[in-house]
Amino acid sequence: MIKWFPKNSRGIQSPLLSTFVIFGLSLVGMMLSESQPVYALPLYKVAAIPAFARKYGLPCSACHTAWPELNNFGLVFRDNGYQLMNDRDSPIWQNPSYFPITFRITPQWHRESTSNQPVDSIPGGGTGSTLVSRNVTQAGFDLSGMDLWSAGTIYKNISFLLLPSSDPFATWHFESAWVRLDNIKGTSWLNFKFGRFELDNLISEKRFLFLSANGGIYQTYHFDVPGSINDFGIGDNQIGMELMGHNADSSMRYSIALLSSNEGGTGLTESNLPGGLPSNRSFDGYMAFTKSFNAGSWGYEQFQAYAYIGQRATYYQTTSGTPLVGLGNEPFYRIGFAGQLHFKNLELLPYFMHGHDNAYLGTLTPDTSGLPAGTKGPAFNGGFLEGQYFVNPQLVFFGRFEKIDVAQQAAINLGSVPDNYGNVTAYSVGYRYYPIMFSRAGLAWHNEYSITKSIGVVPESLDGSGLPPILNTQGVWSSSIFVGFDFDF
Amino acid sequence: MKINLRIMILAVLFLSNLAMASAVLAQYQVVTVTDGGTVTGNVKWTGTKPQPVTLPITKNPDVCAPNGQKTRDLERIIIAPDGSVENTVVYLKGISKGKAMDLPEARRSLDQKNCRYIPHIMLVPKGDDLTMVSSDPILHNIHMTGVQLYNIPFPIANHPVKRPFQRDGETDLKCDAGHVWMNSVVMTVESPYYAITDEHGNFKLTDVPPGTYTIEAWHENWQIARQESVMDVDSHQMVNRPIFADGMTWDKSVTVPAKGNVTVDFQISQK
Amino acid sequence: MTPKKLAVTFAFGSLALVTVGATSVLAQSHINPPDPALGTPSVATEESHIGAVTGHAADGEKHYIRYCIGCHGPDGNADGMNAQWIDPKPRDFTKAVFKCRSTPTGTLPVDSDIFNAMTRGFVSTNMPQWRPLTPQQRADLVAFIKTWSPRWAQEKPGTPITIPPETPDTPESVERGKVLYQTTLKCVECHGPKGLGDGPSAPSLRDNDGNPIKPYDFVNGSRFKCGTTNEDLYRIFMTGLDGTPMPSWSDFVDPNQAWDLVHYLRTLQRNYHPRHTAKAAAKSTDQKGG
Repeated sequence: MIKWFPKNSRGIQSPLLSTFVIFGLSLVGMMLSESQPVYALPLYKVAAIPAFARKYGLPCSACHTAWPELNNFGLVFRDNGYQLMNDRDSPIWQNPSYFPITFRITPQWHRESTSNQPVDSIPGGGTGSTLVSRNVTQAGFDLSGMDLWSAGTIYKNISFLLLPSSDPFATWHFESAWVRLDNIKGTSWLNFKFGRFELDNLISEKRFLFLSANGGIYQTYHFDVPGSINDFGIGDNQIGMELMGHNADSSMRYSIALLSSNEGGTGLTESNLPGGLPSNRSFDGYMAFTKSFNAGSWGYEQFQAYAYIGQRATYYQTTSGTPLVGLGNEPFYRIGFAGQLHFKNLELLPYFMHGHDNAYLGTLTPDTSGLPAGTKGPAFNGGFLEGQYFVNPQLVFFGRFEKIDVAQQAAINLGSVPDNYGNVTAYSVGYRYYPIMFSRAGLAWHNEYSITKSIGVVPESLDGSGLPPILNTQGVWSSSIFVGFDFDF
Repeated sequence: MKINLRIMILAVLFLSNLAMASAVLAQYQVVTVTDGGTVTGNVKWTGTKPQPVTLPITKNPDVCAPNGQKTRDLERIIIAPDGSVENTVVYLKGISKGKAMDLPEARRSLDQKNCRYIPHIMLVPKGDDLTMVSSDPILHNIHMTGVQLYNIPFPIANHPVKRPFQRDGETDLKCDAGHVWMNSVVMTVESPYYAITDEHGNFKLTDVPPGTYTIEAWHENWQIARQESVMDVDSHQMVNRPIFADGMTWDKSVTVPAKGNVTVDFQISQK
Repeated sequence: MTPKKLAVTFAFGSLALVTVGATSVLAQSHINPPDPALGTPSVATEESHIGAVTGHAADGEKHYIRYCIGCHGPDGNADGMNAQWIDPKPRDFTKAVFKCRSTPTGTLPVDSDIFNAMTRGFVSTNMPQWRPLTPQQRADLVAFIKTWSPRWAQEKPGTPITIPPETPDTPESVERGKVLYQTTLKCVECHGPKGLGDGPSAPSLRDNDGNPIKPYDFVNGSRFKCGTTNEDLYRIFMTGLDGTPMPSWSDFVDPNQAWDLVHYLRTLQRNYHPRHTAKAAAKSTDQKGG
């Protein structure tokens, strides 16, 4: 039973309370304020142009439950290759001043606090100073990274997406870059995508509602058993090609992808082996099948079954000099299911994953040498339940509970770590309020509190700051309070 | 003293509104009129005569311009040399009972002849049919806007079509087959006390139950609210259709004596 | 400043900001209900019936705010803030004039007509295919749409026309259809001799709101405005597209002639492959005697 208020982490409780105060008061403030019609805005006839809303004249809420999360109409639009299928999708029908670009960034104030961090016993580190476990807390104003997002149609039934994305330090990478041939042979069952893209996860991490360091990722989407040299996360964009199909209202969808075995890295350089040197020599595969059921006035109930089967290298082809080209591929898999369940204004998103790595991946030994009999591969079971409540298209409350249990520790750690080493528990709660909801730009006032715990390791978080605890039996709690303006144009 | 006056005025207004409202809302009742009176009168124009609105005949000149005319008057305002105004609809407003329907059948029959709607103003009793026919060998259509929304083609001459007019009010007719000057008005009415001034500007209402009524004159507007025009890419012709402002009304009060005659004249002008 | 003080400061800061923001800027989209004196149907009680599904206007109002308000507007009269940028203009629900109906010209459509139009969307316009909404959600929207115009309280919808079974698609049928199109009915006036929508009357065409409108181009057009099948095509010209210059031809065309016209119109389409050969024609002549 995980304690919500951990006993020996001093600094955690009061921010928790304060956070609820923030939420409560701002909520009361909102409720008391008077609503005014959005369209009391004077109309400025300038050719100012967020990309799809501008192109088609639909409000953000038509495609998004609460942007960036998609609703079923938005999902069908995306499945169709960002087309409404009314022969007005090709760029030739747009005013030449229309440019399919949106950018998004979130200036914020946040507070990060991590427990059981090794700190100097004597401040400033003097003679005889050792490491002791303490909370480390940092807070301040900050910027998020920025997405410079361009997507749409190059031509009828040819769509694209290009997403140069920066971290908060303005280091750029291409999060996504792909071209897709849509509706091949005139059927929605054949669509071919090529490039770097998000896997067809029913619950998209790229379009979810969480932004804080500890809440802004699904732990399950990035988890690897500690000690395993596998670096895979199903939430990471991969490079390869995908064949995808759907029916007219996307109540049935399939996706099959062939991907490079280098965790979406570019330049054939990413490697799962220590050192991270050029490695790619093999391919991974992913498949997912989604089925929706019409639940009348509730909405659609969607279920997805997925499987990812990949391989990772266990040694390099060259050892002296610069190690290049990984060899000795051993497999791993991730399988599970996801759901998006609608009950009018309430949405529940359950997720489950079972992950298993080959025994060699948990040993740091080449697969040419033998392993002791009975060596088991690292394995884990994880999942989350997320809930969202849409008061109206401009106000959404969300929360999530997530749990990952290591079912089998990596062989390299056996005997030296507790059974629950690496287990993760995570909670997140917050709300987004959209003061404006029209087709030119978007703004959300975002408040979130998230807290994660890992046993013996520092939890995975967006800011990546935090150190493993001194003892591998200690649970490390890391919390985020996040308040920011999320805007896109 | 002041307060009393204010209350009285309010009371009068309230009661008259009530009367008006009930008059408007009440269904017209047919009764035997034994001592009915007659209302006759004349509608004359005062002031400068407006320019008639004309359009060039750009389509089917062989049928639409049999005398070789280049333009067609839209018939929005027809004023005789002596100032008489034709096509003014004069009626007793809100009359709740009287004689049975006896509006002339000619006013609920429409002919499209030489690309012209004949008559220009129609009166159809509510619930009755309008009979439409084309005498022209070319394509017309009757596209209605207003309280009725029928859109009926006439590709073949002498093939009449009927449609019921069930909502009282004004319906405007136009032709989409290139004859942009064709226009007419149908009034769907509940009482028979409607008349349309002839070329001498005269009208007559008969068998009116004695009493005091508001008599109203309605005339369609000749003032163009806006023009719509588009350049046809193929023929490089500008094709225009003017959109007219709403019709105008003038009110008077009339007391009809039993078995007698009363005259009401209207002077209408550019408002 | 301790974390606690900072957090509390922030709480009040957030409260102030949100209160100021919400009152002075803008908040929730909402509908401007019609003037009650107009006599429009009540949102609380209006329903729609499409097959087994009953739609409710009160639920439809919520969907309208989410999906429709950007174009169709908070007054239902196509004055949404995006309407000025799009062509053709959105439908003005306060007038209750609908293009795609199974009912005669000048009459209100039945609920399923609006439902189908919403599901199909309108090709070459900004009106999407709303198929991804559940049938219940679409039925709720149909019920809500009816609350914008008093006509729904004053009139009953027309009686849907009967569409008899299709006659055989033979060369003779096509030829008869050609005579109807080119000569008798004079469709060429607007649609042009080849069906390109370039007839002599085409440049002067306006819809009911005075906006320029083009006749359907059979050669290059994709879906029809109101469907894709032969039956849809039959229904289109037998009921007319109200609000546009396209009239209802039911007074001048009997059902057999109508099917002939459908067969001919298909031959105008760019991707038309003759489905009938002499062999098939001979076969069908045997079956029905011509």
